[in-house]
Amino acid sequence: MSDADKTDSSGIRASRRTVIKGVIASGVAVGAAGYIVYDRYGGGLGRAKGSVERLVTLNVNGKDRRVDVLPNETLVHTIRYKLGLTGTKLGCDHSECGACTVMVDDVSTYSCSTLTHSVRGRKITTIEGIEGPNGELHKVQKAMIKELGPQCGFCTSGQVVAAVALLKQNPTPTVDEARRGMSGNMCRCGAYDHYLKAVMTASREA
Amino acid sequence: MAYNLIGKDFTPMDVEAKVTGRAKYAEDFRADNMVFCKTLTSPIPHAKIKSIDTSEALKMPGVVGILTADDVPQFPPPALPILAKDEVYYVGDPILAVAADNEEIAANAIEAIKIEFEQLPHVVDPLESLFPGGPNARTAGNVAAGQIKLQTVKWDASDFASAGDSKMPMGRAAEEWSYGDVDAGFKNAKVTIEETFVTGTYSHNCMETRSTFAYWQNGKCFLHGSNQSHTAAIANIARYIDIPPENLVLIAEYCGGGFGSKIPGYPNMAIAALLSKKINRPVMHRISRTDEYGIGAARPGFQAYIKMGFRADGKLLAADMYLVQESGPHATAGDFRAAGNALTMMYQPESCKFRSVPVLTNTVPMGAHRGPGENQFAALVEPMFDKAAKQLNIDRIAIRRINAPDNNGKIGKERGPLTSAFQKEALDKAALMFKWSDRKKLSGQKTGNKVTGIGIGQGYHSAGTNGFDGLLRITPDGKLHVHTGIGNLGTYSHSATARVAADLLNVSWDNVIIERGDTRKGLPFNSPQAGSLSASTQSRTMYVASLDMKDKLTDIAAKSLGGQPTDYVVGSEKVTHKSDVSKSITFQQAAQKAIELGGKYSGKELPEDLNPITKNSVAGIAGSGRLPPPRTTCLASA
Repeated sequence: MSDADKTDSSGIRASRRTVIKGVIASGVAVGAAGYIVYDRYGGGLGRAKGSVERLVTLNVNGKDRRVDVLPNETLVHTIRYKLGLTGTKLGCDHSECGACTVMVDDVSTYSCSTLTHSVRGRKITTIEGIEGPNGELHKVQKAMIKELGPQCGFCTSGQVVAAVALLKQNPTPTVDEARRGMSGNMCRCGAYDHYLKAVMTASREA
Repeated sequence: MAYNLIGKDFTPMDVEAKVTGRAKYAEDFRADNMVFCKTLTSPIPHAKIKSIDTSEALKMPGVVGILTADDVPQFPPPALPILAKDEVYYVGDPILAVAADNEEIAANAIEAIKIEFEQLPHVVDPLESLFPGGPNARTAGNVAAGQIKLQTVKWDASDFASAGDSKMPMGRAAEEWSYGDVDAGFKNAKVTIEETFVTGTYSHNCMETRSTFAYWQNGKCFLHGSNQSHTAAIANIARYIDIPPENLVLIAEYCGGGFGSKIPGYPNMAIAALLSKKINRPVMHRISRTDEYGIGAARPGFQAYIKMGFRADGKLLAADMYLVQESGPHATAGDFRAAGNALTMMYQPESCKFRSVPVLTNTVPMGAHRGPGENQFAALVEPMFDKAAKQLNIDRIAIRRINAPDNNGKIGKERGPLTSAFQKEALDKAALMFKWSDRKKLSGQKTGNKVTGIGIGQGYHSAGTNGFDGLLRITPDGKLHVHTGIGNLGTYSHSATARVAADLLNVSWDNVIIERGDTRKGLPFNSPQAGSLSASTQSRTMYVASLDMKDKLTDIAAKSLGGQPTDYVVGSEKVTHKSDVSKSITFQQAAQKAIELGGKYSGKELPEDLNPITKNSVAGIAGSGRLPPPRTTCLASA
């Protein structure tokens, strides 16, 4: 997370594209849950020697979770296929689409390109952790319903998490700041203006 | 009639599941004992498969089974196959699938499979294939489409030489037609515009890849898929799996984007289903983004020549269009034909000539994509109208208006009728709202390094159809269940059209339950979710079904309270005597009475002209004692 604390000109911290190159190059697969971690370049898959799982503790949505993790396992893989939190979507697996966005210490992060081992001891928040303790919707979620943000809904989890992270860092963004804060999340249906409206609506709520 | 619900904003029932992450897409499901499959895809664009040796792979611990083309239903070429047999046509073409305890083993097993290919010449540019001696994308031919049988078309070298550098060569077409006197039209034209174009091919690239999860129970295939349509796709998907439609349980509550590529299902869905049948374990077929680029369809590109001749007042006297379509390796795209129709409909040319060759290429399979054909066409032709307007010194809206269809408009080479067309009115309204006459003066103004452009464009896509069944049900708790078999692309038409039924039956929205997304809920045969037609089509279906429900409710009231059905009126969730309001039964009472009456009131007797899929669905919910008046109405018969 070398650029986790970088602040850009709009005052928004961004760490979306923290990609660890070594992982891409090794293209390693995982066996425990049956899913391959990476399938970026087609063939050449196989478990690297010595890549055994290790039991670690992750703080996910406020709870400590014990989970076996490979050295080269990505966070989206751990979240979806080992912790069973399927709200986080795997869209591109290439740090491009944002469907896998989660918060790490309140900063929006592409979980497809983050090593699970690198976030031990950090606070991980997935879409399932956005609602309040009694299941009440977050103001961003309410605004997304009001403005009919989602169309097909596949990118929505990422959009919601990105918006929550944005408002944590900048509670009253301008439209341009909000647009920039949401720029890492693609919506193939093209509902960008709906999502943007929802961010602005949420920013006006207490 | 004043509507309480139609035309008013509402919150669709499924939107909360999307913003909380609880919405489950195909790949979010799990089952005990499930295995994982991966496909071996072609690494080369065109080749014959000489031999496949899976022996080493099958010996690997954890490998559970392999599915090849020999295990799957075959469809006559050039239809899109489930798995490639004998010949592969593009990089990413699925050849076989391996099921294993996990994806890693499956991937390693794929590495251990030996395939001997005989590489064949490949082609990605249609014109190269049309050139004498140019490669064919398939050994059996290079041209095919719906209603154009697989054949080889080669042009003469002189066709290419005579075209020159910047004009499309035009040899023999595979499809051509004309109407009117085109030559005379061009002769009488004051201005003639002539252009050669190329439009790109691009992937649908849905956010949700087309993963499929399948398992079998009691002879039925349970399939979790990512699909735009629901019941309209069942017969087709069942055909891929080679089972009767009633043996397919399709669970597709959400679809993460389709854009035309997931309308009637797709052959790839059958891989998990057939592999699961073969090895008798649930199979998850997770599609990576890389896989998706291969099997996920793309919009076909055009190389086009268009010539249009205009009268002094802007009227289009003659149009001549030649489209060469990059079709991919199978006959899956009819964009060229839709573009021809668009030309005849949008601008009502007095005479028209259309020629086209849909050329097979060793690129990914093409398919309908958001206004297939019409959108490529609009991008090509609309700027030509601007050029003509400029040369004729007439307004850019005026030139569109004079050519716009009205209710006497015609479409297609047959010059078939349009039911209604209000394009002129739409242009007028748009011009007024936009303040066109004032704002067009801004066009071309420079501010620093920026130039202001003011433009107008039109687009067209056919929409709306009929012949579908409605299924409404009132339960003894008074709830109106709207069964809908249209899919869920996130356009919320499943809810919007349910409001038609709720409004007509005067039921409060809180008392409506939408049954959808899973064939076990008893879903009628409904419109595909495609071509922007599900809202218009399903609204009509719901309208007719609601009228039928009203008839049944007044029947039941008359049977319960005496008099004739026509003495009663439906409103406020009860059926009341028109002249004696003390005679009234609630929906709850009517539902209970319907169960007692049975027959057509409880869904045990059905209209004969229902689609078999609807009949099957009603059989699953009728006579269970808790429901009534299920009502199914065939729109076609109305």
